[in-house]
Amino acid sequence: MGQKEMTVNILPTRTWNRLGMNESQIQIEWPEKSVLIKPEHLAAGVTWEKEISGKEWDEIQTGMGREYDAMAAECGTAGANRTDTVNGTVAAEENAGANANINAGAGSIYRLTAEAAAVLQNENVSEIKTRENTSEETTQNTEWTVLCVDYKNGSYQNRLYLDAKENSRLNVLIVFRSGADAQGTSSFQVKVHAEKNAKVQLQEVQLLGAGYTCLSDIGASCGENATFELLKLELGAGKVYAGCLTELEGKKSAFDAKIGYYTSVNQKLDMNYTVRHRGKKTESLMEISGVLQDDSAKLFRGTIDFVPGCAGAKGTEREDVLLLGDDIVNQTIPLILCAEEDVEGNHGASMGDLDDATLFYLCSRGLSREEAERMVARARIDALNELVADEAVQKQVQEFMNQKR
Amino acid sequence: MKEKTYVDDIDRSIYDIKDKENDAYKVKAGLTPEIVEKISKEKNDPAWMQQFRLQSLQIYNSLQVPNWGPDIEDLDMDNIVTYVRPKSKMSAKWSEVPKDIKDTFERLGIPQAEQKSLAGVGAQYDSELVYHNVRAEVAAQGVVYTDLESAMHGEYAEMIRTHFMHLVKPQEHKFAALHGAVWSGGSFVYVPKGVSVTIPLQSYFRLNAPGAGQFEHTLIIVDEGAYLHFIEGCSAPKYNVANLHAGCVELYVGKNAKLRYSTIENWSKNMYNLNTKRAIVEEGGTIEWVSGSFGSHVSYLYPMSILKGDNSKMEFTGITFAGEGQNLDTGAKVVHTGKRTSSYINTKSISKDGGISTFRSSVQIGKQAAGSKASVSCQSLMLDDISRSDTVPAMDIRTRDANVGHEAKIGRISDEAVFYLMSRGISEEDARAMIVSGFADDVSKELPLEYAVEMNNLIQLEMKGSIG
Repeated sequence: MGQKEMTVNILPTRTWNRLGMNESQIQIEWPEKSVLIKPEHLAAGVTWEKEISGKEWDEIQTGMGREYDAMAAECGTAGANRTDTVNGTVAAEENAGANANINAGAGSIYRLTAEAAAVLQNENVSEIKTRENTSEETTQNTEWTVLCVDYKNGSYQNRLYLDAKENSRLNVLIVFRSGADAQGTSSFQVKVHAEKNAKVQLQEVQLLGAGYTCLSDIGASCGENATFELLKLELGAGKVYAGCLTELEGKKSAFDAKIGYYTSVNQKLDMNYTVRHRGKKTESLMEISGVLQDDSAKLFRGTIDFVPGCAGAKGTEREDVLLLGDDIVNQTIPLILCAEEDVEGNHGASMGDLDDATLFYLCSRGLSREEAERMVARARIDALNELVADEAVQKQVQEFMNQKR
Repeated sequence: MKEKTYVDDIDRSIYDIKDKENDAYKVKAGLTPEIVEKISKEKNDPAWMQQFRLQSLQIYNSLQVPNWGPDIEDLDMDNIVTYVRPKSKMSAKWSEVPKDIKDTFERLGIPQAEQKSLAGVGAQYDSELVYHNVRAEVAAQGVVYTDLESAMHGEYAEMIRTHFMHLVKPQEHKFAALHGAVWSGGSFVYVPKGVSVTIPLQSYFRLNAPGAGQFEHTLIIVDEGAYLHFIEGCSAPKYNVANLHAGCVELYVGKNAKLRYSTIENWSKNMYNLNTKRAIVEEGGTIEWVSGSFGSHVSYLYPMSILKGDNSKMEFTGITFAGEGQNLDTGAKVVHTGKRTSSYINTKSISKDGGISTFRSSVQIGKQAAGSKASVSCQSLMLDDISRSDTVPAMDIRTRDANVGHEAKIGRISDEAVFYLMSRGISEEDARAMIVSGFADDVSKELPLEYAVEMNNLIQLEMKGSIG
């Protein structure tokens, strides 16, 4: 498909053009391959299937916007017609493995490093379904399904559909990794559909090398009393474009997002997180905590949108940014859009250097200023890392951070 | 749902009285080089200003209408008369102003306010000033308060030329360019070094003609160590055709000087208010904006401050009230380029009866603005579910040595606050009334008493139960 230009991360309502925050124009080499994702162990009650994108997929919009969504769909369709790279033997084995229902204990991380065979371009939508719960009680599934997306080199696109049926629990941890010197584009799209009383926890830990451009797109739709919890750690990649759009359709549905980032030399982070309150008494909380170092740049767009009819809704957004670089670019635009009277919307943002009292305290304990800054900065990520569901992944994050300046 | 607090509409009776049109001269509707030349000739412009106007017109024709903000598609410049000269020359005595015009300003309380509490007044009717006066004792201090056209030809001609639309350039946006082409009226103020003008100066703008535009220009220079409080007010009767206000305010605040600029905007609901205000502040200087926006059909209004000098400051306090048929897009902008500069933006808004209120802000802290601090606080109250309130704040920070905080809140009256007041013996109705009244208090307390009273009169509150 070659070089593609597109507009992503569009602000729900425009502002002064000279600020450069309304949207982002990107030009990338669009991936033509997918990574074979095959969890060897699935959490209890979780099944793994592959199917081609359909109406259910198309109905959910995502944070990066329609152009990206359409491009990802086009890539999927284009791939479906490709046959020149099919390796029959490999395809057969992968088809067999990928189509098998696997039930096993959860918790381990499995590394998937094979380059995606062309056959997956025919079926590059993977759907993890839950087994329907016939019991009246809610499934208390605390196990996690872990997917490791490992890129050796090159550009890849994947799409993942998380379908949590009524009363179910679905917990998914995705880790993105590459070699330190690897180059390419990672395009990964996740759409979440949480039915009544369902709870979906999605954790994405991004540990890509600086040579990678990461396109991370999420869309979610929550039914009555459903919850979508998102934890995202953006720690690697040279450029990151991340978007998330959550529609709280059902009454009392909720969205909770914790986003952490830690940038250093030459890194660029461009985010667009929107939560749309449609149902009554819906709730949302977005907490963003990050560190900017060196000459890195960050643009965070966060929107709480109260649509008519969402009486009793509450939305909160909090951003806390530690500025440690002399040449940083820190841009934030937190929106509240309100067309409903009976709501509570709050947002707060705090940006700055390490405060004097904390700095004095740490230096009085024998730390240099630089050591003190690094300790406080690192603590922000460690606090979020403690929430990552898998200990092995937590260790990988620590190792990754140890190598980061 | 509980009964809701009823917030009465603004009482516009005195503002909606229309004077019979009795113009001395009026250009044709529309915007052409010929019309701009006629305006320039009417105003006896120096050559540089005539050229400036024509260049501005070219810029206007080359720029697009903004692709953000409220819809102004219904504003048709072909139907706007850009210059209307009343049958009155500017005078320093109210007795010399034509009766109908004088009566209008008397109904608005301007001559009375001048007597009681102002150091000087400029009153503009349609496109020209009809009255301009400054107290002798203020003039004796060296304070200059005159109409801009006179200043262009007098001893301050060069000062005008080196400042006029240097802060707000015609290239900024389409309506700045429009202003550059057809501006008329407005005031020039110069406060010399070390002079403190303890009583405010005021300009009042009244647009009487239907389908007309008002494009006054206010240029204020407060020299080193000086102080001034300047108040501007405006109103117009309501017509079924569109009126346009594209004024421009340029404020130069010198080293260690202080300027407070207060506005109560009460244009009629057929008005497109596309105003541009900007201040530049030198070392140690302070600019304070106090802004009440109650009128207009559509407003684009974002006073901007450039904190150029080290240790300079900006404070912005504003309230916006958007009722039926109104789409008011207001806010503030600040750019920190000097070290240890600080800014504080505090705004409130109320939306009712389908009104749309948007708070829009921009805080930019440059790489060289080490030690700077900025704080933005915005609170919105929506009184029904057919109205709308949006908050669009943007922050752009390019130095690590800065401290920026932002908070925004939208919602209803806190139940805890009501409970607290009730536990002190106050009825629920009174408690809610008290809290809502206090909502606008931040702005009214910044104004001189007479203007606070006027502002509070613009918002009449009638309680029936509770909000929410």
